[in-house]
Amino acid sequence: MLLHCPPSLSICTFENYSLMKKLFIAVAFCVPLTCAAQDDKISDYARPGDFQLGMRTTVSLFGHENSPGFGVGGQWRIQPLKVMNTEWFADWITIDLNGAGTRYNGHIGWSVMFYPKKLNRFIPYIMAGHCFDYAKIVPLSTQYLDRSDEIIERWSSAVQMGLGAHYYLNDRFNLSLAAQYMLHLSKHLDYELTDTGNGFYLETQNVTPGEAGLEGHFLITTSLNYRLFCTSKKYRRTKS
Amino acid sequence: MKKIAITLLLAVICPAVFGQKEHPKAKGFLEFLDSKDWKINAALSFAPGAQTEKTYSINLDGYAGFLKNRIEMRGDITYFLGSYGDRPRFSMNHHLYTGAFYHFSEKAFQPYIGIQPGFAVSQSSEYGSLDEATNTIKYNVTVNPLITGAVGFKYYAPRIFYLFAETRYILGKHKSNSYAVHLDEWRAAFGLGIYL
Repeated sequence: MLLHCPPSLSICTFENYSLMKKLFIAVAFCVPLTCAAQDDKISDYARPGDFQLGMRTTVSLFGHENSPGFGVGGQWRIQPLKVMNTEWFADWITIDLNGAGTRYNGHIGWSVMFYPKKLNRFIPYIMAGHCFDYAKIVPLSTQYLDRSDEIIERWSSAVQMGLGAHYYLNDRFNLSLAAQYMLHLSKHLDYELTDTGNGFYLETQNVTPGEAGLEGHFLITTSLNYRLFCTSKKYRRTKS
Repeated sequence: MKKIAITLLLAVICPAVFGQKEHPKAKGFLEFLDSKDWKINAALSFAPGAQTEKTYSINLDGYAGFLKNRIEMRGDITYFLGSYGDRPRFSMNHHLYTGAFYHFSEKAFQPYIGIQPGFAVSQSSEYGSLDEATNTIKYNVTVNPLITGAVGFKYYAPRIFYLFAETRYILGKHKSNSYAVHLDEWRAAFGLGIYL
């Protein structure tokens, strides 16, 4: 791969942003492939053709608001290669906006997981993927005040990338932990939380639009997955 | 007379002896139950719960699980029947969880521990919001994420039945367009289950 890099890489400096970006992309693609070439044995865990089904719990951190979000979801995984797995997921996350309203986030998407090295039951991975994202901001209404017309919502697209690991409790069942950064690719929702001294107030209508830019948040996901079957006859376990 | 007595005795004993003979199909099924290395467990029970402010709930809990190599994948559904005490706060609080349990033994008595993410379909009975169009107070039903941890034990009979008791802590928050309410609750469940 390095042969394909431009000669100017040898003189790359921190000032040269575009070259750094190319280098990052080259490394991101090279690492999984070179590491994968080292793995010739077929592991008992995470074999090609494996189909898994699982539930997940997600914590969302460092988003637009400082309050953490908590969510639940599910996923299925189908593994096409020894060193690569795919995950297809859906999440529903709710965030309490300091008592002034609620933010709802829904994600539906997919990720590709690369296994650089399988350490028996413990399998670390690099993951990247794409999802569709739904966000809805609901200001607090009371018995005397109806703010349902101030609800704002939008659909957007997002990309995510991160690191994770599976731990196989047996050849069928695994526990996975992943940390990812999710970057939303379209216009973000403008709202403001103001501390009034007597609690917070959520403003969604007369908000000065913030700087145009990418909105993102950090996601920590714990999931429990069960291998239902193996679609590949070649890699099927004799016992199962 | 002796012959008559023997004949009568045989007439009574023989059907009783033959009646004990197991049907070949039933025998095959029982052999299958004894030979496999996995179990399907299912149970239905009442699950009382305790919330803060001396408030108690009563729920109907049903579950089904697949147990193999001490690991059980299990799904639970709980149906909220009602609550009483100083502050009953929900008019609806149904739960669904799916997760995994680890059994510490493979003998008849099996203590276990587990964790299950899930969600609640809940409705506050305290905090509603004004609907200006109809000038009424609405109590929205919302779907809210939960996580729950459980410990308990099962005591397996030689076949079909088992006794279980467990307790769990549920962590979550009901969020809607009005004030948020904690869903946190201790629950207990015990009863008889069936396994195959």
